[in-house]
Amino acid sequence: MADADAALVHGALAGLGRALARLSADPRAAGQHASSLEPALPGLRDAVEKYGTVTVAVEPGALRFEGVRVYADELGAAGFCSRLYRDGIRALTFGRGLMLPELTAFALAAVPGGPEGDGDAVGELWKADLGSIQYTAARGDRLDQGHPAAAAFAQEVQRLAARAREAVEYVDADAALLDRTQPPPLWSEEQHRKSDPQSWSEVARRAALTIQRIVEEDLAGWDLEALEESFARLVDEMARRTEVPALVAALEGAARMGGAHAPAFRAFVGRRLADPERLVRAAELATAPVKAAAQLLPAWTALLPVDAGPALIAALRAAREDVAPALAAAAAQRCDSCPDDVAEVLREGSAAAAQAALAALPEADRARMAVEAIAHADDEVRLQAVPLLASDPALAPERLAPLLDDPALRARAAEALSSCAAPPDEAAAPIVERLSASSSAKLGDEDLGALYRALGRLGGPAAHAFLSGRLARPAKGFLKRRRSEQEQLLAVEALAADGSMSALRLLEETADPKRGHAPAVVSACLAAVERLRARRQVREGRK
Amino acid sequence: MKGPRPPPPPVEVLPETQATREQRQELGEKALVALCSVLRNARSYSWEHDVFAPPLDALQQAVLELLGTDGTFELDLAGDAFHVNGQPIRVQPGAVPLAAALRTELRHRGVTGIRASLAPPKTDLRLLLRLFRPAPPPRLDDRGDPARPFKVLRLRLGPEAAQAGLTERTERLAEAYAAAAAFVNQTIQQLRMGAPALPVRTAARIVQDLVDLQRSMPMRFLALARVKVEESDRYWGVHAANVAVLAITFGSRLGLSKKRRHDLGMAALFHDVGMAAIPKTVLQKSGKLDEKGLRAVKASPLLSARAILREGEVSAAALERAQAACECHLDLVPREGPLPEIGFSGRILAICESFDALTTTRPFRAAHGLREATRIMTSEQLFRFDPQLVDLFVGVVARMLAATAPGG
Repeated sequence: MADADAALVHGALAGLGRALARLSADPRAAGQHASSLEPALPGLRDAVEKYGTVTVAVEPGALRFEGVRVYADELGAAGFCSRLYRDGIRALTFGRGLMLPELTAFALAAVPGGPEGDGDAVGELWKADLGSIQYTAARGDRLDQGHPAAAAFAQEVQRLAARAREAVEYVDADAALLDRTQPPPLWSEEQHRKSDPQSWSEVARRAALTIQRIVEEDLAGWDLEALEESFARLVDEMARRTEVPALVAALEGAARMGGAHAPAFRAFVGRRLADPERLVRAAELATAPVKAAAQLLPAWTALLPVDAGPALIAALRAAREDVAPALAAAAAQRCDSCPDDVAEVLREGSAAAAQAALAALPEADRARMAVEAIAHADDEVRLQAVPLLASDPALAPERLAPLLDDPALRARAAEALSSCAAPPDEAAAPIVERLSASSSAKLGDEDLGALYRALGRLGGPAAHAFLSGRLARPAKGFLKRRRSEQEQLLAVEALAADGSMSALRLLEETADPKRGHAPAVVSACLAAVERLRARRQVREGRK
Repeated sequence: MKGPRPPPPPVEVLPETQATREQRQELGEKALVALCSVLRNARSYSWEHDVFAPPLDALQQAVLELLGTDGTFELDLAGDAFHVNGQPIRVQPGAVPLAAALRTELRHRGVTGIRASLAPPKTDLRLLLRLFRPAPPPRLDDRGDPARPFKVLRLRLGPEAAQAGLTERTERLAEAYAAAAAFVNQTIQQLRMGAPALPVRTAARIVQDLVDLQRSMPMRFLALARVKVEESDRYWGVHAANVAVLAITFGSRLGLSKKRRHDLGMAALFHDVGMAAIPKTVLQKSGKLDEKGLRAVKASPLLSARAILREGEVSAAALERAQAACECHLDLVPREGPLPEIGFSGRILAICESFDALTTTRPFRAAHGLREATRIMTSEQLFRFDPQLVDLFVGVVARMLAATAPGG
């Protein structure tokens, strides 16, 4: 071959080698394969046009043409040459009619780690069925000599081949004639598409559920760990392929799964799902434009271990605002593992995230963590935090008392105090104090009503004493009359809510016209007395 | 008992349509003309001379295209005619004398055919050219001159070469089938012992061979499904290989792609590996199974899926293999409960698996005949199968299989 001709072939093969090496560096970017390979195509075509075919020997880490090394793979054992050689490919032959789609298909099969690269290169090239790229491969249908079962396998093949030979030899001439004709396929393309959709997502979803069934029915045996690993890989692959509905189905199935080994299985999967990179990917997937995306984070985070808080917080910081609530809620559920971070979310996070976190706080941490949310800029968050402060009865009065001075939270704080499990007098004390303060005159009607209602619900000596005082000794003075009457009416309502015997007696006394109370107050007392008596009669009647 | 063996056809012929026949004629003629051209100059020029480059290019191109179409290149001298891949090739009247000369030269050297199953490199074609020199190598074997053997090309030598080619292909068929059955038996054996499983890629190569062979000799290929063994230890391997044969044939008739036929073949090989987890006493029991035995057998599909899924492969083919193993034993319309999800491979395997099981003698019953088996599948067991697929299977594959019986 003339030097110029050799240079043409060498250049073409080296160009191809370089293009494939580029793909090896980023094998998953299948979309870019065509553009990476395009520059190598003209040279290869020229060489093929000139010589009809170009056959290149594959060596570990190199391509050789007619004894001359034309390309050395810098990636060495990680490169495509080594992969091809390892899998048994010994020569590649490029023929006329080479087009970019064929070259791309070849690259997909040849590049290690590519979308098709996990399988055997020979198998992938065989399946690709490339017209203008042929290969020569070492025989692969026997076990390596080093395999412990190789000898037994070879013997078994010999024995069975004798049987098979007999069966084939029986085929008579007429039947053999049928070998010469190939009738048209029974199915059209349309039927193939309909009956055999070949959806990875579907088969992966079913496979995930099969693994769960195996574990649930206690059939995993010594393969439990391998099946856990397989399930985790499936989940990873679903995430990589953005197969959100399949992912949701697999994760929800894992959460539902029963059986003796289910907790261990879930724990393994949960640890994998808690990996920070995976969590970030989950947060991305949750924004996918499919219906199931909304269920993804709840399903994903439900499986996470209790110490996954920091990873959740990291994902939350990188996530879009619309998925932040789900991550915040999951982190809040695990706030023991990241109390400061959850506190920060409650103080400074977006309103939606803080609200979701508040709603998800474990009961034991609610009161402690909700304090942080009181500092949030958004009133809705703060309002949501107030009832949570009441969940620790020992600290509720102390924590809620200052909120009675906050116009935005006052009513909710009073309500929280009235429903907390602290002793009634302790809970009533801050309300009484607030109502007794000189500034109480400035309280709005709504707040005033809330404070009185809270006292009514609390009952107890302190509340009762304050209400009876307000009812019996209203403030004097022309300017205060309207306010006094209003407070009396609120006290009547509160006492009616209290419903105790002493409250009933007080209301009866106040209803007496001789006491000189305003007619509205007297009427309200009479109505309340009637209501309480009726209620008592019903109760006693039942007894 | 062997029946009187019919005379074998002179040359194995590949499946074809009119278009492929015409294409084969065109490429075959091109190859012949190129060889004639080489022959014409072989006495005048050194075998390394550039004058041979154009005809060798043309020959190589024709061979490549035939490999692409038929998967093989086989040039045979049968009587006075040349056959390419089993098809007689007509030559233009002007080329008849040269073709005759080529015939004479080949006969003179005892060569009755040239073949290649892979793309031959240029060096092989130059070595082929060397054979036509005035002083040919003193001795030839199937790789040409033993001193400078071909890498890819092979020669057929002697008058029995055509028959030998057929025998060789039959041998390949038998070996591929046996390898498939042995793979499954050995896999089950390994799993029973808790030893490492056999490499899946070995099975993949075996199934590649099966798919290629099905394409080149569909009837003989299908006849392999008639293999039955008495030894219960070998039953599962032979059963799996038979299911693979039936599934690949069925897939081919449906027009499935090569890849899908491979997937089916692989799924068939692995569909019963879960039997490794079931005690032999249960599998070989001739009477009714007790509750424990029944439970074990019912669990076998999941155990097969387990054996596949534990490998951690997440490719569509591997997952489908696992699912098919599991789903092919499900009823399409169960007596109670919701309809199960059964994929395409599971539906195909269910039919092929049942057909082979019904036509095989088991410890608990005798084998049914083909007709009886298809009757059972289309009547009392119909609830198990996709009705459309089972009709197609019975109408095409089962009928083809019946045609492979001795005496048709």
